[in-house]
Amino acid sequence: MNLTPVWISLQLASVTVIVLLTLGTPLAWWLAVGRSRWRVPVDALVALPLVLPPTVLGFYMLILLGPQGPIGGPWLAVTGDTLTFSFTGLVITSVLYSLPFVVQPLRDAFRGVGAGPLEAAAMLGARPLDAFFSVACPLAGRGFLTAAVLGFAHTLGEFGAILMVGGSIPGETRVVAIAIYEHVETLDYASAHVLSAGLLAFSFLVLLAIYTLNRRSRSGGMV
Amino acid sequence: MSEPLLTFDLQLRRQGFRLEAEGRLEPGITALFGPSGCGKTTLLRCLAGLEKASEGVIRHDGSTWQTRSFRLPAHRRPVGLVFQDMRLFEHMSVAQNFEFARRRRRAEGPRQQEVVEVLGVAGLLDRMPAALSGGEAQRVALGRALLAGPRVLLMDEPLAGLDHERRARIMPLVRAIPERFGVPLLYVTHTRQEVLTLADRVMLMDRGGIVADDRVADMFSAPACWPALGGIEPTVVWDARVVARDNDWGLTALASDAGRLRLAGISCDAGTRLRLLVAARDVVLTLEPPVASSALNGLPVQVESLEDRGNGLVLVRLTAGRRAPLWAEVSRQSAAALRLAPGRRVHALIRPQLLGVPH
Repeated sequence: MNLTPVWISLQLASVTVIVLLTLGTPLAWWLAVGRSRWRVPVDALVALPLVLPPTVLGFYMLILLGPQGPIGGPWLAVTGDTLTFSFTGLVITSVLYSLPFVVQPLRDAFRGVGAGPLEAAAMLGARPLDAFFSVACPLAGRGFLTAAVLGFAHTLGEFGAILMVGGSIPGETRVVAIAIYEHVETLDYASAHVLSAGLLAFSFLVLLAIYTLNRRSRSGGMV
Repeated sequence: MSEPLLTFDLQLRRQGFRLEAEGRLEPGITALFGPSGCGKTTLLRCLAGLEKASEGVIRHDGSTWQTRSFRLPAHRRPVGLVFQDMRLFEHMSVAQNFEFARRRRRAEGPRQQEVVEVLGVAGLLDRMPAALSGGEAQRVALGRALLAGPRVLLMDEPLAGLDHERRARIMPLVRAIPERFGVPLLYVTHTRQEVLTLADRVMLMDRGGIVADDRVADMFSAPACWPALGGIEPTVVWDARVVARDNDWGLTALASDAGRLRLAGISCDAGTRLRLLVAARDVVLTLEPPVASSALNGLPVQVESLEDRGNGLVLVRLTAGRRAPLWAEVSRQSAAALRLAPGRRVHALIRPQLLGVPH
């Protein structure tokens, strides 16, 4: 049995989570403590992938990332590669698709930390960035763990948007979920069973881990 | 007296509240006293730089913290703030909390060993904040603030959540801070007892403004301030100093503005400063100096004025010794029998109460 899709899925989920933690942390912080009037609309925008059919996201991503699209076009001109039907295109799509699963737990964790410890840090001479990294982030630690695990698991389970943007190129864009679909299409139920059961067991273990952690401490947000 | 270290003239408008406070912080301990919601905590936060919407001017020891066009951010002000809820960093041990402050100090500060010794927290260094009792956490928060090397220390009701016994243990520590670490202290409280036992000066706050600022003894002896201090009975507060011990009788001799006094039941070294409170009810007036009496302290006094309080009582304003004020509450009949009138010299037998922590 070919296990390359498993490998691609794991790679995609890892890269997506790293990108999301990097971009999502400042965004979540801004959503948690910011006072801008844009905060609420942005909060709603971040939550959009929760309710949107994956095909809608996939459709617009296909247009944006396509060779004539506003992102795909310049990308093609600079790198000589297309974004659609490529691993990079999958990462961009996954980042948007899993955005709320990373940003919301982080936002709630930062809210849970509150302004108190940061004010205390300022009174001890800590600059705002220093206070953020040495006080706010460690105190929101469980939120980071929840965000990373949820983002990873959710990216693994992605199907519709990825199929539209990446298709099913073996060794490049064929992830586990798509491989299962194709095994079923070709009536290879044995392979579909192995991959499905694997994904099922993995997802259950991930959620079990998070719920256990959250039961042990009341901090850290759940979606 | 000494130069003020911190002067401020601050305004802050908020929904349903307006802070307009002007004042100055002198060396020693100043109590910021007033009813709940009068703006004490807000004033502290403005001084610390945590209220971004505050306007006005703050100057400290030759440098400027805030003007109309400039604002030194909170983390660059050499000021420490002990929050009412302490705000220890929960993810760090006590030692790490101390280390955090020490590494970021803006000026020279005390050695950690000295702070640990003075506050008695040596046994807590390895503990996490969640494993500390309220009193322990309060001492750690105080130590952490001191280790940051502040030039002004602000404390927001640090003893509010503690029971009587723990308060009594922490008060002497707080009392020792200005002298030991050379930092003036602004101490928010709404407990009169804390003002009387801890503070050198008191700032009275009401509805967002500072309505009076004076030495504790002067403030508590002034009738105009009694309502604002919580409607206290006519009272005077005297600061006194131990001059000698009489071991045969177990008495301690004190020198005060009112004259020489003797107290039983205390053991303090010569030079110790004490604060005494004399309620008008605990003053008895006689024409002649008492030949023998169970009251230890008899003082020659002069009547300044009389005020009829109704219900058959007269409040007599007196001066004792070197212009120390004293109030006596006597019946109208006694006032007539003693022929009390301004300028008349009589004798007062008093029972002073010793207030809390020795100064």
